[in-house]
Amino acid sequence: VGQVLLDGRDITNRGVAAATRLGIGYVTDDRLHEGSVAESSVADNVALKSIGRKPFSNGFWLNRRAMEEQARHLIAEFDVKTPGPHTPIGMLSGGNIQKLLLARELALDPKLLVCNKPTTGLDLRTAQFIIRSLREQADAGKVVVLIASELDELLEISDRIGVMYNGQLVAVMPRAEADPETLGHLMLGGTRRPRKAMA
Amino acid sequence: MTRALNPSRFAPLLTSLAAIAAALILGGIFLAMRGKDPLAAYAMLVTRGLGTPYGITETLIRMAPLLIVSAGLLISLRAGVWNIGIDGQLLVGALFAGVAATAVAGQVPNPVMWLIAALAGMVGGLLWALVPGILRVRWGLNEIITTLMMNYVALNVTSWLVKGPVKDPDVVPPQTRLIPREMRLPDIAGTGVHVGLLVGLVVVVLVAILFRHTVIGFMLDVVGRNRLAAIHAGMPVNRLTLLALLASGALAGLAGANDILGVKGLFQGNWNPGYGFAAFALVYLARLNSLWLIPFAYFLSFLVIGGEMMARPLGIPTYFVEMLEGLMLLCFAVATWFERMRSPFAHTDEVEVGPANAGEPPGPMVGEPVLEPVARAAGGQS
Repeated sequence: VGQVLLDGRDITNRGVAAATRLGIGYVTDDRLHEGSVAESSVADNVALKSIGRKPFSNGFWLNRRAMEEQARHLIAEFDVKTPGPHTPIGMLSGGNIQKLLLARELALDPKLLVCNKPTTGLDLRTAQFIIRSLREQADAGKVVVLIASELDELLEISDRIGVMYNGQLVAVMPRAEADPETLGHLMLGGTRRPRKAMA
Repeated sequence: MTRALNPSRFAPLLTSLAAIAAALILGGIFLAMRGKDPLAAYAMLVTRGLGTPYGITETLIRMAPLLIVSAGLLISLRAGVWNIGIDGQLLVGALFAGVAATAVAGQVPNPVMWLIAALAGMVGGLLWALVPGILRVRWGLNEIITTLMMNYVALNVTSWLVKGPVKDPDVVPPQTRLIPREMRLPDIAGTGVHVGLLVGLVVVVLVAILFRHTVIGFMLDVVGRNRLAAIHAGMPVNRLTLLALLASGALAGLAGANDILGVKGLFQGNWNPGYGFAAFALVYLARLNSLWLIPFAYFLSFLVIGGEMMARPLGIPTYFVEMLEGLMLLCFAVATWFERMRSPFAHTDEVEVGPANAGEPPGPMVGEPVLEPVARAAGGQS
């Protein structure tokens, strides 16, 4: 039970296509099975979520050249290691797939970007790159919701941190008030101790 | 090994050709076991099937329905939908076409009559695919079972209809009214091959364009390769699944209409050409690539026609060709296994080339992790 509001409008259960059109981007935590089509090319995967719209198509006919151009552009901008835009995306490493999935969402210029554990299983450098990109988005005025269990990561870049327990949002606090101990306590179902206020 | 050194878009064909060669060798062993000389048999197959005008003409006539049926099957298999009901859809389409054609014959110009019959055939095949389609999309019933079962329903329903409601009352055997020979599909100028072959070629080219250049084809491919990703990308997965099944049903019906208008002239109660199985062999040998259907359709047609021409004089059962088709599919499955062991992605560089899991079932149910081993092997680690 509950509602999802975007700019005050109720968008509960509107479906993926509608959410994308409303300007919500989502980077899945299952990049191999949900985020990408392993056997399809990098270019096809880059166009996956907006294939029915310009520039990738006119709604009926594909514009393969635009798909390839966009893929080359994102490969260069996000420094993706791939032999080329026609390589099946499943041939790339997890980090490079993750970069492409993030790049694909950012290219759609979302108002709200939800990232689900974007650094899981990545090497440190790629993880840092992903986190930095998210921070840049937030600095540019976008809303970024980062879902993660890496507390260091959250404490490094978040403006505000919320804690979920048993499906409930139990606390939201500015980063200055958050430390691993407080967050850990809340994550285990504890209540928020007034220690900070007293200090 | 040359494939690893020189990956080209034709590389996947080597697997198909190897499967065909292996099937022919195995078939030869069976012939030898029956005391026939396999080399002489195959020589006769080639000289009669490829070397006589009759053989070539019959082969080209047989190609038409195979092309249409397999183009339809290719649409559904690319979308991960297993339409095993081609034969039933074809029968219903053929019956619809036979009835529609005789109902308007003589009252409208022939081309209009052909068009009406073709549309009626497509509607018949589509309706027969609609039942499993709705069951699949609404209640998640596995279409492999339902389309297969619908074949038996079609067989009996059409044979009942042709014994009663739509029977030609002037003759004894259960059949629809005969379309007079001069009103059937004309031959391509200068040949004995009716124009159905051209329809088949056009259908194959249209399907190639569908997958290479249209949004719908792109989305059907995504649904077939990774259903979860299609849902995640906001594609109308259920509608696409239904569309794939209906398209292949409609094309099966069109193939039925083709045979009625071009070859038979009427629908007979005991007629069941069984193109469905050949279509499966064809689509897999062509590696789910529409244009490659053309040479393979010619080859399989040649096998059927040449096989008949060879079997009778040599005293070999005509079932021999069906056995060869089955052996080809078996050998193909084994060959793709070897291919995957070596390199799962070596051949998917071209956009229209079939998916890497061409040899195994595209997952018919949501969440079936067909791609998992491939994806894990290729990109699991960062």
